[in-house]
Amino acid sequence: MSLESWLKVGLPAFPLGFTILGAWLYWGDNPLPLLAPPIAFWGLVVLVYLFTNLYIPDRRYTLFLTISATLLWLVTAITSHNLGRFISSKQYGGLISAMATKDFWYAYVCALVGCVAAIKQFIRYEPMIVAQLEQDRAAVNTEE
Amino acid sequence: MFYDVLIFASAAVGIAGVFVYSYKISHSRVYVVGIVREKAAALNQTVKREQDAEDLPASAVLGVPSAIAIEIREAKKPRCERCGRLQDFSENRSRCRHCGHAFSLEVASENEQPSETESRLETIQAEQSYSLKKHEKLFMDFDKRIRQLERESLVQSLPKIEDNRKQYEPLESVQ
Repeated sequence: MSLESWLKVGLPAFPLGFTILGAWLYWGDNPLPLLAPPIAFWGLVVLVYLFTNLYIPDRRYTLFLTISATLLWLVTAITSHNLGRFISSKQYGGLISAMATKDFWYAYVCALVGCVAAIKQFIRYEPMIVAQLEQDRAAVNTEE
Repeated sequence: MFYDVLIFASAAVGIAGVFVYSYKISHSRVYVVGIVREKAAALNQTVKREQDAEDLPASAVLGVPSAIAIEIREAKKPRCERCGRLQDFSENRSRCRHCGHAFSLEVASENEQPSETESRLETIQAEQSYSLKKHEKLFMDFDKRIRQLERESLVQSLPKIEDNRKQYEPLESVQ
């Protein structure tokens, strides 16, 4: 992948990076309820990028995939919020106790499914998008 | 209770949607936006070349390189199922040169032998129709030239006719 492609996939991961570097490592907050939504959001933004660049004739698969990822992000956001409430309560006694809650699994499974699907699609279709972009740029330069 | 049902239903629908539509996308013919513009530009170039060829004088047309036939042959070449780019099956390639998509055996076998014969026939047909068109134009030019020569010869012979008339006019008046 080119530098431009790395930038495309890396920019939407900035909230995740901020959560890890800022909230967790710098401020020392508990990252468990904060990590899942940026992961899901990363996948969602990557899918939106792919959705605006790919076209399947007479089908709206890319749109439905993006809507599904949005739904996963919503579930992740809600369950992460509830996970945060659990962590701030007296019942929380470490990672193991958080893993015993349903909210933890909903948050992280949904986030990872959405993110992995998006990254997989990105790795698969990004070379095509880059090739097309290069052709378009060359055509524009020739026209000028 | 309501919260559990809502979260479970949303998660189930979301995960199922992601799996189903990822599968469907990976088994579909996916195009990159912008390919239509390229095709339109190529079409405009073809039309322009045809117009240029028609604008040539008829005498310069005989023995023209069959540019249109070459373009038709290019258009009939097999394309990759995923990225839609031209592929050359004669080199026994199993994957697309651009996106690495593996060709299905049906497409490859369809395009091996019959395509060469078909493209040859189409090339011959295109060349013949092209030359026929240009010959028609040549004949029209010949026809115009003959009419022009007739007109010129008529104009040149007009004074002689006038002289003859003047010679015979007094005789007619005498009679």
